[in-house]
Amino acid sequence: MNAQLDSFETALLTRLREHVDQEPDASRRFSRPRLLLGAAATVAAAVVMVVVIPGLGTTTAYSVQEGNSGTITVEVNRLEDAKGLEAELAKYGVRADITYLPDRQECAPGRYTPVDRRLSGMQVSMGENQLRVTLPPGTVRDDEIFVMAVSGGAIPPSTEPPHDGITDEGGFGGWTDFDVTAGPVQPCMATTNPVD
Amino acid sequence: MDSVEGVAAIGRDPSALEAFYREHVEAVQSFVARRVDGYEDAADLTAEVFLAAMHASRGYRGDGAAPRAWLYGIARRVVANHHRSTARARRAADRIDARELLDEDAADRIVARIDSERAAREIYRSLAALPERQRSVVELVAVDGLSLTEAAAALGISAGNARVRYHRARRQLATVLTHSLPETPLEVTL
Repeated sequence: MNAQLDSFETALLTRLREHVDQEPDASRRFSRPRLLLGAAATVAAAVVMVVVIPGLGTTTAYSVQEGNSGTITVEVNRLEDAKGLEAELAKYGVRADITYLPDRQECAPGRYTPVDRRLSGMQVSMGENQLRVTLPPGTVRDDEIFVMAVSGGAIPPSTEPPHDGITDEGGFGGWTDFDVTAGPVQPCMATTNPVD
Repeated sequence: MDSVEGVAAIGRDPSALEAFYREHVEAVQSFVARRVDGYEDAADLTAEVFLAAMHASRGYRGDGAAPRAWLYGIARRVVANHHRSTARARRAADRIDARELLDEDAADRIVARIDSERAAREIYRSLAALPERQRSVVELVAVDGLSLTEAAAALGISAGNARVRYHRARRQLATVLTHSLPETPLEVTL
């Protein structure tokens, strides 16, 4: 137990406590424990490696909703129909460039220039089986484009018999790059990630 | 001491989070310092490890890994992802930009911690040539001092599997790391 925290540790604890209140509860519906969930919980507008859990039992690839405050929430259950999601976002006044890539592939960096302002509140949350994007009002202005590229694939569970009560249930590994740009957005030049 | 219920609640209960954080923040910072040598990266990764743990906590049942081993398993993947990300933007949104929370004294303490973990960091880097399945086990044993049983729990694999991976890695690294990898790591029953 570290009872005495220094200034950084105290400030970080304060920020983490704030995050508890912001944590979406998307995973409540999906209680199956997975072992690969720890890689990234909630990530910023950035190029990051993430872990998502595959969508089981979901019927639509994506959904877009706008709350009373004007916040737009995108839920992606399967990496399918990127153009359909773009069209759906356009109905909500958001121009988007969505790219889904095969597992272990990434878009080469530099295909767009991010806007030079802080995108407060924009986030991507990784629930146990879906990718959720939150766009507060004003995040993507009329002359701007929301860019998101995602790749991922299932990691099969271990074929070894359970031992010591521990089983490797597998999961889903993925990558995403998302941000807002004033344009233009170049086509995604896919590169293979040599992970593992 | 963590309870299963307490760990499982850290994503939704600030009090549970604080108790868990106080219990493990020093260990997480040392874990990170054994892998990165930039104090700002270390600060950010510490935040990311706890964020990831908060998110994963709902699935914690306590029947596999003890809290520290569970947290190390998460931390290991967070740090590995950090190394894989080549164009990691530092724009803020939901992610905590922890480096902004550093003052001079706190930064000095992190730098000192990083300096003290230099030897462990060299071992960590020397494992890069190993296949991921072997590296994950060796890393937790040789760099972090976990037993094979604890490393297995952290990685969600059987102890037997961990033992096989460890010994295969030990043979592969014989010319490099014989002095660093004990033949049979200390076993601790969880």
